Amino acid sequence: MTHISRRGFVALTAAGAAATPFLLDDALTRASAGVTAQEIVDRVKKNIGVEWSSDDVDTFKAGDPSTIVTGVVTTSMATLDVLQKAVQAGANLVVTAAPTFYSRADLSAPAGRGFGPGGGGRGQPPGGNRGGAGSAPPPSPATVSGPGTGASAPMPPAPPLPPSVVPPGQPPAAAAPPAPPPPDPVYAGKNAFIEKHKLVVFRLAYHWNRRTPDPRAQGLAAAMGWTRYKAGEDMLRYELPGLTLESLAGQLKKTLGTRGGIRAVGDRGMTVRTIGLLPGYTMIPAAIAMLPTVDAIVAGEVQEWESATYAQDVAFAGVKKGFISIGRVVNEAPGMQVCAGWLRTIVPEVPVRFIPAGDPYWRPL
Amino acid sequence: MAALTAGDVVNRIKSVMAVQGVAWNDATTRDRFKFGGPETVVTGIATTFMGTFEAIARASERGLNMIIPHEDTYWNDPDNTLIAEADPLVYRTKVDFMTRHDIVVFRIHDHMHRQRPDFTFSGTAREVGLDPATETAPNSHRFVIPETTLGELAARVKRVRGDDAIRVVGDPNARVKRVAVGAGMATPAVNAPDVDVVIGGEQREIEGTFDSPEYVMDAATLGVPKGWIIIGHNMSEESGMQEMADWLRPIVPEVKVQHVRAGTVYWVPK
Repeated sequence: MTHISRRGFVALTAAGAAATPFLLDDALTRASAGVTAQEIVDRVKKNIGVEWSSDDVDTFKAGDPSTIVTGVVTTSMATLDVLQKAVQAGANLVVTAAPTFYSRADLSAPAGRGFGPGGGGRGQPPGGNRGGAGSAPPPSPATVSGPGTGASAPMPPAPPLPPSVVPPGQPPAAAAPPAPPPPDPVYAGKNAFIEKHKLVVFRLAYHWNRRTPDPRAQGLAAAMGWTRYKAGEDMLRYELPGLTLESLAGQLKKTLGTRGGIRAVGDRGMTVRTIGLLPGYTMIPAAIAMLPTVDAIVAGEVQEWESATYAQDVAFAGVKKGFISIGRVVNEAPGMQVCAGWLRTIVPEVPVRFIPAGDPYWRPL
Repeated sequence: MAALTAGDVVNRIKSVMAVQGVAWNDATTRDRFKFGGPETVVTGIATTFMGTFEAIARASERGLNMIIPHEDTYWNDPDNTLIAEADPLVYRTKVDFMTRHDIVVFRIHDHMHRQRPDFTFSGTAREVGLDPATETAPNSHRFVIPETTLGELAARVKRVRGDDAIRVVGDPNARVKRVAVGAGMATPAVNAPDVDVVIGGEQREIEGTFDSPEYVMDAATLGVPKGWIIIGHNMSEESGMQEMADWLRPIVPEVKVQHVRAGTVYWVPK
């Protein structure tokens, strides 16, 4: 393992503090005041075991990094549902593998609709300014409460709505005709929930998944009970007692809690003994390199016209090979479960929990 | 009478497209011969979603040796055979089959998407049972249907398509009526304010320019009625290859032109 154990970390900080007594006072003050999100991220960068690059992916996506952390939640994807569960669990730092705001760019307001990051997306009440200049719209209790709606009359008390749809009050930006379109209600609702609960969201994907072994493979094998069957140190290959491709897919579905996201290619009745993992999102060269050496691949996400149709062609030719896609978000979950265990070793001050986002997909009847 | 060659067929496609307002772009890397060449004598034409081994074999069984797929033949978009040649399992078998059966493959992708209507969209709309009369404007790919729930709409789509591996995101009880149709990777953004549900082909789950799954999950949490029905890349573009066969038939009257399905990609575990 490349990370530093908890004991090792304590020893390192103790040594550092002893060498610089001035900093010791500072450290003690901070310890009594609690650990901030920024301090936790600094420890992650220092201990993760891969060189930290200055990319724009593994960064803070929401909240104030100086926030004192009450608890940490790791997750496959920081959906609003996960954020709500984090709050219920008393945590205010969420470490997510997937984006928070629906794109790699992770902008907290939708691009292309006149709501750039500085354009007033965050906290903007849904429906605000809908009526245009000079005609204050009647506040719609379904979407709006509090100041900032343009209504001049005193507002009635907020209706008992889920807190996530009630954005904090903010005066609207100086009205400049023409009025912008209404803010996207989903961005607004998520931003409002984050602000109300003073959450901090940090994305940890590119660096975490560059660790060896791949935490997604390591976590998937642990969840499936395959660790004792591993063939090789990279945790990507397993030699199991034989089972059919159909039972393998069924076991994955049951154990990983997938719903509609898991899909398979190949003869359902074929026997699978060797399994290869392709965590995350992979392209065709990875499948071509692996499939000949195993009976079946268990992949995160692939493009259909690449690895999936390759497997389809192989199966059509009568070659007994299987291919299973469990989905990218489902595949990130076991990696972030491993991450929670690792974070506990470097953040001993607060509880660290793993909350999965689940399988985004369901299947119609 | 001289035999019809693949080159003749391609020249006719180019000239009819030009007449219909789609000038041929020779710089395309997609719409080219992928196996065989212009001299190959054509016994019949099969349009299909992708040059899968299954599509090629089924076409050959029917006496059709010219394959016109919408997508690639060698499992990568540029049809780079160096990538495919690394595979010891099926590549050689597939190429040998094509050689033995005098197959010629010519891909039609970029130009097909420039046609109006774009058959990949209109074919999908037809196959998922959307009434063309309910399209909001010609080629808008937007339909207004009688209000229903996401669950009912998804079940209907699955029933008429007959495929298992359909995936849906969103609250099954969400009330929806404004539908946007996508094809292939061209999935309309589900956050458009005037769209309730997107029926589309394929999209990266995360890390795209817009990640629909998470957005629709959050919409469901907030009670915003949104839905996303993902029928798959194959399933979304196969349909339009029927329209492409219908379009080709009158311009190559000498031979049979048929739509041959590229086959089901995925099955789903119980």
